[in-house]
Amino acid sequence: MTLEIIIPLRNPTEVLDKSIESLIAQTDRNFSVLISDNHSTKGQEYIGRARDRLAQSGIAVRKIEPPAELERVEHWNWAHYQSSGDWLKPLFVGDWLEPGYVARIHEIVAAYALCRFIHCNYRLYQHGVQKPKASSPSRWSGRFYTAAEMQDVVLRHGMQFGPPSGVAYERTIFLALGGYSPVLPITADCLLFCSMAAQFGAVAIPEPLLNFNIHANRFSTHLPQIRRETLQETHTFLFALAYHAWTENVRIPLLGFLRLLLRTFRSYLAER
Amino acid sequence: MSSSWLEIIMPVRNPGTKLLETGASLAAQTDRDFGILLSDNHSTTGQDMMEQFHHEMASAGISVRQVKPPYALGRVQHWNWAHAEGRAEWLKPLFVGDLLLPLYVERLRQRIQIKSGAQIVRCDFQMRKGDKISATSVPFQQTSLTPAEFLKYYPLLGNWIGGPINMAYRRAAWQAAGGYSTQLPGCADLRLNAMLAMRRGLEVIHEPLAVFQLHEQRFSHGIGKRRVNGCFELWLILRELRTYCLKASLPWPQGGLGRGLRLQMKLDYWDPFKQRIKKILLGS
Repeated sequence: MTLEIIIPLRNPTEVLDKSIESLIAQTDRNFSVLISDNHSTKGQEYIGRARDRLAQSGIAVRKIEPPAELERVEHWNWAHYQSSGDWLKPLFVGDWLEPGYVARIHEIVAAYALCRFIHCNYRLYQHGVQKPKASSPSRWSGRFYTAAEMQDVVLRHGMQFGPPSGVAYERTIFLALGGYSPVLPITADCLLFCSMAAQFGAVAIPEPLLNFNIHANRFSTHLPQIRRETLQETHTFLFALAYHAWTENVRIPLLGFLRLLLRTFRSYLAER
Repeated sequence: MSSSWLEIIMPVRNPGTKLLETGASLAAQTDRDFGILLSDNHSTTGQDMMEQFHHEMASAGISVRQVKPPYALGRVQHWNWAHAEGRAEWLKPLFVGDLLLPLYVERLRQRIQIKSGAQIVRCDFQMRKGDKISATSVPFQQTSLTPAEFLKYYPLLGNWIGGPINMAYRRAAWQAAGGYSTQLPGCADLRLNAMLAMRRGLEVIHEPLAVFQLHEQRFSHGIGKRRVNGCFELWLILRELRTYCLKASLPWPQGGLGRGLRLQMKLDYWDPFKQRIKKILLGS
């Protein structure tokens, strides 16, 4: 199995160094790196340095650029389509992996023949907040959960998979689902990961092997200012998931789903 | 342009004789400078049809590449996977039973040569259901639409965009858009086309160059009996597009969601209801 780590970036800052360091520190070096630069106008020195350091450490690295500048989510998709690994793992600038991450992915893929989507717990580092926060351990870790089981999980609990840097997936399922939805720029990852889990099953790694860094330049830093759009997008993707379950003749946990919708609405009102 | 500028993407599963009809329409193209990607989603029948298809395309001098996903995929999942296997700069989906009229490739090439920045190209098409033939065209005269112009005509004037039969996509644009939505099996094509046109504009060829056949093996055949709700899918799509437009400062038309939905409901519920009443009255 080959694993490719995809780093889509634009105008990176020094936080890229931390991500690259974490790749060099992996105990299992059986992976390659694809850096996709969306026509950066600054920060080229960090990209050049990342490339050199990976190559010097014996990690295969490719740098690519789309034919023209793309929107943020479009660029993620384009970068994924240029990849060549059997498995793909997005890693966003500033996030970093614990040294055992890649080894753990290889271990899980070898252990579960049907596994096509892996998510791991993470520690959250928020801009301006000193202490990291660990995500609560997943309710469904420890074994391979089938598509039918995960269908129920996503319809009751919604997004359970953390940020894109916390997941790895088989290239085939990314291609089959088409990718991230550019018209849902806030929740594109939620829809894709919930669909992956609900259509192909999932394995969760209970240990926090990812450090999710909401640094100053990150899109997520602006989420508190766009709560209304977030709510609209969240409801759209949840309805799409429920509708898909209905078309597939899957029993929808109606009460659980309604509770989920209400929860999202309540948290919107509370944060307002 | 190189010989691989266009690849016709044909996702198939258990194809019948309709595959050969589609093949004959490709062999009849006046411009044969294209390749075919035949993606077989683990068919259990129809291998003889695929062999014959290969043979006929080879006789016409058209190259065919056959691929197969690592395991059987769902219908829309397979479309996405097949498109991702495409290597040419332009991709044109073509489903079993659908036909391209002889001038399709020639006209598409001409348009792309004139408009080098084109990302998606739509043509008019005919719809065949048994002996009935109807033509579809767009409710405007322009040949190129910017995203803002597109939003003047869609969704206020109904679904004139059409499905995969009348569309060709630049591969990079298709990839960036994230393919067909697997969550919306009835309107996945509409969502992709509308989203692309809204982001990148649309080239329009005002000439019927393709034929959509509603044959028995087709998903759309007897769609009323399937667990698909076109209106609900359209509501989700328009909701997504509206939210996106408002955020991206694109001119979403006022009342667009309601009007688009009303037109679809008329098509899905009111027109069939009127026909049924007419039948009952005439019958009596």
